[in-house]
Amino acid sequence: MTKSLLIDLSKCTGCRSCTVACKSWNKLEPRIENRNQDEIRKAVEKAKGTDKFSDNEFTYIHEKDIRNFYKRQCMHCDDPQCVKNCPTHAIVKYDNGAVVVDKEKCEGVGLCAQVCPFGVPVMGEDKKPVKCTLCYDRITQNPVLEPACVKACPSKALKFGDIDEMKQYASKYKYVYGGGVNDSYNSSVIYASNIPFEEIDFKVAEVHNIANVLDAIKHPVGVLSILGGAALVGLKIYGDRKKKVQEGEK
Amino acid sequence: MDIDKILLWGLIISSAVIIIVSIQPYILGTEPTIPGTGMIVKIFSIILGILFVVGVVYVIKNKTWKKYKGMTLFAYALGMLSIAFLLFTGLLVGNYSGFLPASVDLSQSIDQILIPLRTISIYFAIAGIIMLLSVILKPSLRT
Repeated sequence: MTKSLLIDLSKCTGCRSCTVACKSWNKLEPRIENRNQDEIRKAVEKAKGTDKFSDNEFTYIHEKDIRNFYKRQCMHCDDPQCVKNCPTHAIVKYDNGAVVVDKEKCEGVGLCAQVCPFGVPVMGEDKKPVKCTLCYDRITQNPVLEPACVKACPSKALKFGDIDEMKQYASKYKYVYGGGVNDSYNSSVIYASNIPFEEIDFKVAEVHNIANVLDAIKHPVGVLSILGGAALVGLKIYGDRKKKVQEGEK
Repeated sequence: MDIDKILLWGLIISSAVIIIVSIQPYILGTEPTIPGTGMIVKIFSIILGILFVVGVVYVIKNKTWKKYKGMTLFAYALGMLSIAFLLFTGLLVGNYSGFLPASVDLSQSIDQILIPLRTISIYFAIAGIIMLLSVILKPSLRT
């Protein structure tokens, strides 16, 4: 069953309980082993909370100003560019909607970080991508459990459940992005708001059409090229034989 | 066997190795089961690149392309172009994997087409190998 995370921007207060819960569940504390004092100080400073994705921030509150902000995180797209563009197939879109990186298969190519339409994955200190996993380990361990951020949200701005239920909930709002609601982007994460997304500096997907076209034609074009090559070779052999026959006749 | 043929065989064998290990991830879309696929592709890409450059320089310098005529020349040219394309897409993917000493930040639109382009280049390289083999191997044609 596909699950969805709904972010109700009309209820979000920007308290950052979600980011703290995320760090706690995913153990995103700064690494201190085998580091000197200076390095530890820098690592702690880095982990204090920034306005960008990093090893220590799988989600953060993006603020346009004090009144306009939203929780940024991986959209867990239905047709993820990161999955399609991973040469080692280390990223998987699971049936429950979560898009998760398998670090053991990952070879650190980094294309996922480049192609993401939302600029979400970043390459961590181990040269492997880091991003929200929709608490895949939590939600698969026990179907009753929800992602840590959802559990921690005091204003109930975050909801987690069956995607159809979340879409129905979101349809009450004037502006919806994600879940394929109102022909918006297809993803497992849905944003619902009563104010236009432009007012909160919301980053929409940047998927370039040529990528979709190339992805659709790559196999047919490839097979045609092999057949074309074989046909060319056949023509060449025919031509050589004809020449030889003509020379033989002479 | 002349140098031209040795270089062509080198190109064919190196490309074939890269294609074989790349079929699973790029064409079948499954996880590579051959261990060390990435390293094999990197090593043979270097070999292929060196052979390609040496081959092109040798052909131009000694004008050995003149011994091919008509369809044979066409097949030879297409075969070499397909290998050049395979090398080019390999460089683009290698740009991000740390294979190259320096990396260039390409636009997102180019990044999103890298893997489909690599898939197409592998198909083209299969066709290219078929064409290059037809140039090297001359089947005996009884009249």
